[in-house]
Amino acid sequence: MNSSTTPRSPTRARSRALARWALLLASCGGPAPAEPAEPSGTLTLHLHGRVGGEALRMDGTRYPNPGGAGSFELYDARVHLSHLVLSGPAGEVVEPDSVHLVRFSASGQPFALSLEHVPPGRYDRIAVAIGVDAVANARIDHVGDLDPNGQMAWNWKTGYKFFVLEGEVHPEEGESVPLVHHVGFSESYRPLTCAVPGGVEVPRGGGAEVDLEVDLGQALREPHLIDLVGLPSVKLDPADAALIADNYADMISVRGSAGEGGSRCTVVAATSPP
Amino acid sequence: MPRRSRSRSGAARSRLAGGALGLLGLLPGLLCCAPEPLPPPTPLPGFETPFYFGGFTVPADNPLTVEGVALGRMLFYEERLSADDTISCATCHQPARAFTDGRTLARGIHGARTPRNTMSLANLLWGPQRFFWDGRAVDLEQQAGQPIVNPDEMGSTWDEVIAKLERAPAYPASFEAAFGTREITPERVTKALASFERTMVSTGSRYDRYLRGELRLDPREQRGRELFMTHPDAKAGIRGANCIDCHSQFLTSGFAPEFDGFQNNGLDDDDQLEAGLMAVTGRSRDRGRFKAPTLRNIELTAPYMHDGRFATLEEVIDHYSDHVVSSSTLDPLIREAANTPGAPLGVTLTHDEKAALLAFLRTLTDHEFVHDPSLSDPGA
Repeated sequence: MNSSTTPRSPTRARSRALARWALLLASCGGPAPAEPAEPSGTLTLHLHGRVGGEALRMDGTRYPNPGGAGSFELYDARVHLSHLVLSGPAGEVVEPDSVHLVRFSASGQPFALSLEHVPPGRYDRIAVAIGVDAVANARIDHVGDLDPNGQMAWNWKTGYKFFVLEGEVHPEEGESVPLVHHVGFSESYRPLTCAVPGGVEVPRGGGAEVDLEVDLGQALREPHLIDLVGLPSVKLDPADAALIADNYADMISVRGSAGEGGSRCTVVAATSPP
Repeated sequence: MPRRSRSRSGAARSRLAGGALGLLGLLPGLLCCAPEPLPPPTPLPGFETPFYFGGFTVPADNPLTVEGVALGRMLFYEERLSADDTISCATCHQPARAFTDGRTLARGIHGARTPRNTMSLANLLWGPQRFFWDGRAVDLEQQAGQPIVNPDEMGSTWDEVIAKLERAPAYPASFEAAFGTREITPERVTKALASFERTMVSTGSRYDRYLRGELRLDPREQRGRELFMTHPDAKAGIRGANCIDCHSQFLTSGFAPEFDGFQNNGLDDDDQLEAGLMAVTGRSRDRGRFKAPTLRNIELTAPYMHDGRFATLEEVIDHYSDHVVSSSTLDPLIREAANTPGAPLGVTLTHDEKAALLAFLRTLTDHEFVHDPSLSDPGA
């Protein structure tokens, strides 16, 4: 796993402590030694939450119920992304142990996901999966973004939630009801491929950025139009989960750079986890 | 399934590979810019934790050392931390009760009744790293200091505490061993207390042995475990007790990130709802949210809830089954959870399901932990 939110395992913490120690030692006794040339760069993916045409807000903002009357609001939105692969003229970069828990902020700030040690050069395609693969989904000896003591764990039998929407559904009449869409199961795994309009150049020793939009409203819209008044909860029923999974497969797109239009990620294989 | 487990010997229980990390964190200061002399480099030996607890972090400026933990243990049982030398941390956090006191509400100096039930102490390295029922302390060090100067708890002042500890024969040397000089400061007192508390790791319950593959739960316990771990879905025909939405599956604590480990669990209506987390965040939507405690050793920590209103675990289970109260900030996952469509709030468990859940909760009791000599009063 490669995530800024990964709790320390003893081994990882030890290596970090060593690195910190080495850095501080270098800073104590005068001029720091020249750093070795860094052959690789960093690519940061900024994931912008959206609902339809609007930026995601989780501050009481209400959005129209896609498939019926009334509205809904969101308190929490999370999605597991995994198996990130960059490809293009510079070659192919497969992120090792690639699992990221993307959690959208209430304030609308994008979620930053950094890929380290990327060989410099041009990349024009990103592969990513929504969910975790069947092997990871069947194990509980994870740390970091698959911490089995985290909220994305269901239990030992059912593995991890891939996609979580929590909030409130406000019917036109009557009391509001909780919105609880928890989608998991290996059948809900969706591998995607995304063209990067114009490509992105990762400089030697530097950083590059790509902006992705995650339209959470799409998870309720196409091809299965969801009336949240009728379906405020999606959990363990496989048919319900498949509706949302089919929809969220189309929810990610790559923003175009200047002069370029955006590009929606597309499903590679509908339901065939590796 | 387990890759390793911890030794339960007293020596091995006083743990920690993480001490080595702390030592590494200290060396830079030693070499160039230390504001004060440093503790002797004696990391705790043999500290291992189960992989199913996940990673943990020890503050870089408070590494776990043999001397620091030993000092923290002395201080934990030290009545001179209170104004009239009658109350120590262990007065409310008694080992035999899994570091609780058996009272509805904790009693402080001169019998003062506090507004809160005493929280149990176990596995504090994991779960929410905010402490107290309302999360007002951002780390264990901050938590450890507040009861000492709270007028209704230990009622002392730092000047008084430090003066008394300076006069006590054992302490100046113990502070020197732990921190490099004989100086006694509030920061050092709370650091030592926090270090000792971090060594309170409970991994000897039947549930732990089950997770390590050392035994099988009996059918009723196993059914209780399944109920504990399941959010109900009536549409899918899956029944659950919904515990896991607030209590993580292995630690059974609240969730770690930010305020995820705080919920309004349906005890009161809007008229009666206390501030809870709102007192810390100032957000009205946090009213009535309290920390989800670890359920490790829950059998030993009655009475229950932040105000101790439930005398027995049976009452607790009845609450979540049949008596959840609606309010504007009731946790959505509690509000939504129903085994019976259209039923009132609560998961409406059957008699047998309640018994199974209770049986599972009793597998969380760790008798070795509550009788661990390394956690006991060093002066006893």
